[in-house]
Amino acid sequence: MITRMIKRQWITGAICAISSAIVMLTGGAVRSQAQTITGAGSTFAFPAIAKWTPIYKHLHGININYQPIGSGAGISQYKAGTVDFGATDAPLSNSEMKRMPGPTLHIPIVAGAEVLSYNLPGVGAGLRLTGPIIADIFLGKIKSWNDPRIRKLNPYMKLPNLSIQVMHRSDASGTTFIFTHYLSAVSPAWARQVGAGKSVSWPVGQGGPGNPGVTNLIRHAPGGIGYIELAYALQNHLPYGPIENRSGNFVLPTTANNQAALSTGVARMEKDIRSLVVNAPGINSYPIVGYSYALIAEYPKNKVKARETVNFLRWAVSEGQHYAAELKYVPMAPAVVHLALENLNKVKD
Amino acid sequence: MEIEIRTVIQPKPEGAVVSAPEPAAQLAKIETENLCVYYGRVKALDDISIHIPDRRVIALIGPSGCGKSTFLRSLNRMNDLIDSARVSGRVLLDGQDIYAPRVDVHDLRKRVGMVFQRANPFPMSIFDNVAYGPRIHGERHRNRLEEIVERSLTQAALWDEVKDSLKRSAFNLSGGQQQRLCIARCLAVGPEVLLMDEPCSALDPNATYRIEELMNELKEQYCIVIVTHNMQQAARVSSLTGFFLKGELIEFGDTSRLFTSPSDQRTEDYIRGRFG
Amino acid sequence: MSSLANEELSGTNTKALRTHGRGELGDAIFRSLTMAFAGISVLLIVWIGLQMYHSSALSWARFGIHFLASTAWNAPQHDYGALTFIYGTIVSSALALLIAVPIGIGAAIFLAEIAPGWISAPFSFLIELLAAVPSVIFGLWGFMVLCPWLNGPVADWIIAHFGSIPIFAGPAYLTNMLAAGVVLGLMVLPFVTAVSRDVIRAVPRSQGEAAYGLGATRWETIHSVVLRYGRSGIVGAIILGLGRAVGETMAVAMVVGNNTNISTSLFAPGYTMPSLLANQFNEAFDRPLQRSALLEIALILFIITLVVNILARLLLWMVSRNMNETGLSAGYHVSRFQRISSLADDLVRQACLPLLACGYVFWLFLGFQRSGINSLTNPIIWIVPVIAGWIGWQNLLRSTRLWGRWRRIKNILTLAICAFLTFVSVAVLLIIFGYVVIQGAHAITPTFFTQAQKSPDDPTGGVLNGILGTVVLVIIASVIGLPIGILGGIYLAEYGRGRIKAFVRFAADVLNGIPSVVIGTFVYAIMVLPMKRFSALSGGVALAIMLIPTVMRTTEELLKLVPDSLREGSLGLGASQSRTVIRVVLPAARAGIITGIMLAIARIAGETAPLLFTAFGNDVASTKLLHPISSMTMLIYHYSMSPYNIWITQAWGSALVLLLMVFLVSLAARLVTRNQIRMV
Repeated sequence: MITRMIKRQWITGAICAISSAIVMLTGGAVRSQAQTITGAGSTFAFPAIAKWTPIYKHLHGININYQPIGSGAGISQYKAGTVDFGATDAPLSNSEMKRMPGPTLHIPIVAGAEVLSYNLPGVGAGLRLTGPIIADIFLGKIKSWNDPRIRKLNPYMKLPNLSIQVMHRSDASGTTFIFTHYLSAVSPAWARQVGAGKSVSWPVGQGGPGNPGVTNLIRHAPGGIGYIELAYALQNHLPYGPIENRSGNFVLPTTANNQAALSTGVARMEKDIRSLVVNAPGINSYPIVGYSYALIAEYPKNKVKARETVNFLRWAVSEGQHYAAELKYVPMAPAVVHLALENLNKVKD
Repeated sequence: MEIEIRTVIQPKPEGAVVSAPEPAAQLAKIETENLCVYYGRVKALDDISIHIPDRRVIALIGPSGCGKSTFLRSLNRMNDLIDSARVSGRVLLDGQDIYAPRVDVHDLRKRVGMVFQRANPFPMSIFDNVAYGPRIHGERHRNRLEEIVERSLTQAALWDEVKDSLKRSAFNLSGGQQQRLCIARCLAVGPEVLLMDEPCSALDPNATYRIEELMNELKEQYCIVIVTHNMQQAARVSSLTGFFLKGELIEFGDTSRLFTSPSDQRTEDYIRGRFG
Repeated sequence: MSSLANEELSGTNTKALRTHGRGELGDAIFRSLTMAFAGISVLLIVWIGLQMYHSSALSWARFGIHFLASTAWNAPQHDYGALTFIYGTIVSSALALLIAVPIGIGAAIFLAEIAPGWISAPFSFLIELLAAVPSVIFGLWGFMVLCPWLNGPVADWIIAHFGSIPIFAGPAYLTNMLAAGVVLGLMVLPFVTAVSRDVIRAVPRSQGEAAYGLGATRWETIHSVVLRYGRSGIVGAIILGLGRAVGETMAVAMVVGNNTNISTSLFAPGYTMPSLLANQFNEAFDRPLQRSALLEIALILFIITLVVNILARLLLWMVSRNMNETGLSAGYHVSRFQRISSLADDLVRQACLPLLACGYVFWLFLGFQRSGINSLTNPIIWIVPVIAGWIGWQNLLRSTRLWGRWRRIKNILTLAICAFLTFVSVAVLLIIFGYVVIQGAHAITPTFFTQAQKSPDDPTGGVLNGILGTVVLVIIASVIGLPIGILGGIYLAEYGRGRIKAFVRFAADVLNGIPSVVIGTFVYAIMVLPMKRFSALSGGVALAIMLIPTVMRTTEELLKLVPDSLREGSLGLGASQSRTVIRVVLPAARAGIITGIMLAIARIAGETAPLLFTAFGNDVASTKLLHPISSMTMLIYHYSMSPYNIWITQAWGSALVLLLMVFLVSLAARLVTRNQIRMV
């Protein structure tokens, strides 16, 4: 008798658990009817995308699930077919293109600048740096903030006797790709010893996941310096300074300066959308700028999802630019937007 | 670890001190006065007063749970290890109260050694087992330790069997050998009294015989108190026997007399096998 | 059973006995079912091993054995080697043990031998709670609180005084090997404490009595008898703890610094094998060689798990044998182990001490060269003379009559240290808990529970996506894992015999020890890739794989507690064995099994690493099976690594919710089962 009662309890318990599970899973599916697009990759573009998603949901009722896992992972997961679009600031190389399962389209979605943010107690914004000095800091040759070379550039700043804590990415990153291409362009030593890529063998420093991780490291480490997208520095009130450009001027990453740099690359992008624009010529050009691209398949398997994705990206490169500009991303030149829309039209959905 | 109620001596109207039949012959080695032991609220020993002479084997018999082991353990304060145990009355070793406030219990246990029901050698070599006691009491000199080990093992009649394997684990010995090793370990710290808690109950007859023989030799130098379930053994080895029942010492006296003509009916019932 | 008697009795005129009854068929089916489900753990181990082996073939073919000796990890050059990560794993784990072992054993001694019950019980519980804190919360606390503290005052002090020793050389970095070691140490601590406490408690009373009977003080008894007797068990506990430290992922990834260079200084960043996997696995799909190299590292982790488990089980098994057979027949093992350890003792005495002395003199010399006579004002320099003085003092006292008093003082001193160490470990828990409560309380707003993630500058965002995700993942894992675990446990307790049973149990133990990040890579390979999508389902499967062994072993242990008389009673009434198990044995152990399951679920709810490659995360509050899904733990990880204050606060808030859940479950389990289950 008692065992039977106990048994009944077991059974009812099990039924309750399973039925509630079913209700959860199916009922949940019914409730969130809205279509969801999954994207992943670049953290460079993440603040912009994070800004877009609620607005786009509001306008078109489409959920965008964007996971900022780094450009390398974005490319990887795009290739594996686990996401609807990948996002990367490092365009695919030719060999990478060949390894993709099908023809892949690059859609530039935002353009932005990278700054070298630092955490120096008692030192405000405006620390001037040159390409070779940045390279030597990241090579581990300059170890202290009161190194004569830095002092010489910043005679009016009270630089502390603090060791430099270099911060870099722990994931494969388009931000790193742009930054290391810049370093390779300005420092032969860097080009020889380390080179450029999404993930390189860092001689010194601490790795953080994504732009947010690096920003976070800088915030917490006195003496820290790292390369992050401008939006992160602004959102977190981290100081940065002017960097010497190709013409020998120290320039800040203002929208005008960034646009000046990016405009030098438009012609090349019309030939190959994957062109880089680091260390651009021009007296006002800010030297570390780049695009973030969405990667989508030309012949998508899931047409419905692909259509929604294309719609979203179309919105992003046109109306979306306005919202991105609020975060000090650089509005893309009309020619580049045109290129992006052209590419979007190629998708066979 | 101090026990507060130990100095409270309860008046005992009817109980005369049950003492050995030859009190004049020698001074008591151990003497208890109105010893009571409580485990929490349970009274495990009730008002035990006894004189234990030196250089004798004293056997304590009685049914399980009668308090004889508790009594034995109160003689070297092993009961201190049980949180709920309390003691009242006095236990005198050579006339000094071992429950007095400033007594060093570690030194006391060195003087009053104990052998347990099951052989409990340490997980060390035979040599280290025997040398353990002297070492903790401050002896570090290798030669002197070797001397002590040899002497103790010889006394415990184990030396000839193990002298070539002193470095081997004590666990390799047989049960009887292990028990003799434990006796040797006890002897190594130079005790005056040996308390043995059913030392043979886990041994076969042959090993039991060897231990009993050993006791006979040891009593020339030591005062030995043995708790046993085996009445034949008590009759064989002891010169005095005490009978415990329900925490009381019913009868204490000359072994041969106690076994042939007990003065108390309950003792007679027990040794005739009517209960227990 | 009935068929056996059939032949003889069928000829008589009594009522014929039925041959094969219904019950028997049911029995056979039930038994095969339990066996099959128990076999799943074996299957999983083999499958995981083969998967890793297979996937790492490319890297093995390219680098061969050189992979283990190379420090390169250079994606642009396609050159990979594991040494940096092996080194980092060894150093951080060694540091962890250096911290956890003395504190853990000290606390275990206090809890098992010294403390009265009313202190021991709650303190044991608190220390075990520390084991229930999810890894990612250790990471959060480690990064936000511990790292700045270590990088600030602690590093300043140590570098000022010990800077000349290479491992303490400056400059100090925010995230570094030391932080990883400390965090790992805190995570291993409760484990070492709990297992050591059990081992010490299992030492027979007679051992302690023998020592007390010879006049040993309490400390002498514990030190030279109790610990010695339980030594192999404690070493086993330490090795199991080491296994945990080696496989720990998230907390380490958050504080270790993630730099691929080997550095001798503990204040410099480093890298460990699991944190490399967590950081790079998701991005390596399009680089076959890097992926293969990563999976070879996973394979190394898998092999380490195997070896560690074999070693630890062997040692713990030796202890249990000892205790069962009162040390008579186990003598051989003990003495062999002892011979090795006494050899080690001799080595330490004869080789290490002179070496240390030389090192000390050399260090003195260095200090003298640097700062002359001033170096003597450094308090650290006096450590060695003080120790030498201590030993000399002891030898002096030994021959005097003060020795007895000195022994008593030493006794009290050492016991006080043990008590202190216990308070330290409890204090660590309280500090972590305090931070989580204070920081997390700010985050608890109405929208915290009702809204999904919003952009980082929007304070009305919440963690609904994480909460829902954790619930869904746990439900999926339970639906898959619980039947397998419970039936497998029934097999182990009721049907298993001999070697097969031992093997199944061992497989479950190994499965339990496999780093969660490795399971993540496995599920990615068998589910995410073929399905071409991250999904709640694959996340649930990964968690289920972690749930199975725990539930299996808990069920087994609790069924074994059910007295045989109950089984005999039922069997004696003619019930079949399966009926007996289902109707009588399981209900008898029900309360315990349910709480064991709750604890196991609480544990997987705190998992992060495997979800990164399977459930992936979702900004939207989704409950769909085949879509990516978020979890509390992934949110904590992403939020705490972000620079946004709102998100960081929400990370603390999520940590608070998660901790409260885990603690409540643990507390309930404690009240229901009264120590039948250990939470560690």
